[in-house]
Amino acid sequence: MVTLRGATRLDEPEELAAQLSQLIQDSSPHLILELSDLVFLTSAGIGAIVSAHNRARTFNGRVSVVNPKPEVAGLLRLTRVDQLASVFPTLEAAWQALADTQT
Amino acid sequence: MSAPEHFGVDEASLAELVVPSDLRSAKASEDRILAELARHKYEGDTIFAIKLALEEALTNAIKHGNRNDPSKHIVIRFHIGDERTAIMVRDEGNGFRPTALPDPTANANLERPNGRGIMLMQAYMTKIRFNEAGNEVWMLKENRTRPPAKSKSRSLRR
Repeated sequence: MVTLRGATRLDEPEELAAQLSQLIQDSSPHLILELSDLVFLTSAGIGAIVSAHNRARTFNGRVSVVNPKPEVAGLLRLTRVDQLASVFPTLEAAWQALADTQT
Repeated sequence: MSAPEHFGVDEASLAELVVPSDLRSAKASEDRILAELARHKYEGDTIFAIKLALEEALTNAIKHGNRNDPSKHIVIRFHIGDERTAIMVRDEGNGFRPTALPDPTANANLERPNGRGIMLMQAYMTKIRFNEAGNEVWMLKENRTRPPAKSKSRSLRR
């Protein structure tokens, strides 16, 4: 699981995308992004989430987003990226959904 | 470089910054504008919208307009008032056609990592307008949470 806090900076998203891709490759194809402390996100940050989704798919995995703040949730809805990375209110709900897909 | 007429912004009220085309300089300009918004007591969601649109415009100017060339510059003009904020961002590039951009929310484009910036600018600002070349964008955000100015007429006392 990865926790994102604060705000994705102007120069940060490429680094974030690379780190998420490496995590998926090295650790698990299923990535949970805990966003409760993330207060700001730009299109580049959204792009990093999309890249992570694309990477996870190559390993038959998925990306889940947990507890985003309303403004961030609004961004994911507006861009329809919530169709790629499912949004859950709690970590438990995200884990349960993952477990359900494994059975 | 004048503000569009329907933005309701007096040319004389515009501040101007000319900054090197790099992310650190862009961030410093952004911070100055955000500080001014806070001074005018804009609500959090309005500040979020302006910050988002501004970062998208600056990133586009640096990466696409000026092609990450630090020797180039970005011009930023802005007016921040109690009722509205207008911001212009201009780069030294050849421009592009905003109307030719694919819809990033279409199913066929959802898995593309890029291409959402302009859409977010349009969604979060009250109005945006590009010049003909496409290397200059004006953005307007009405401060809708601000109560309308009181009428100067006297009310009758009962």
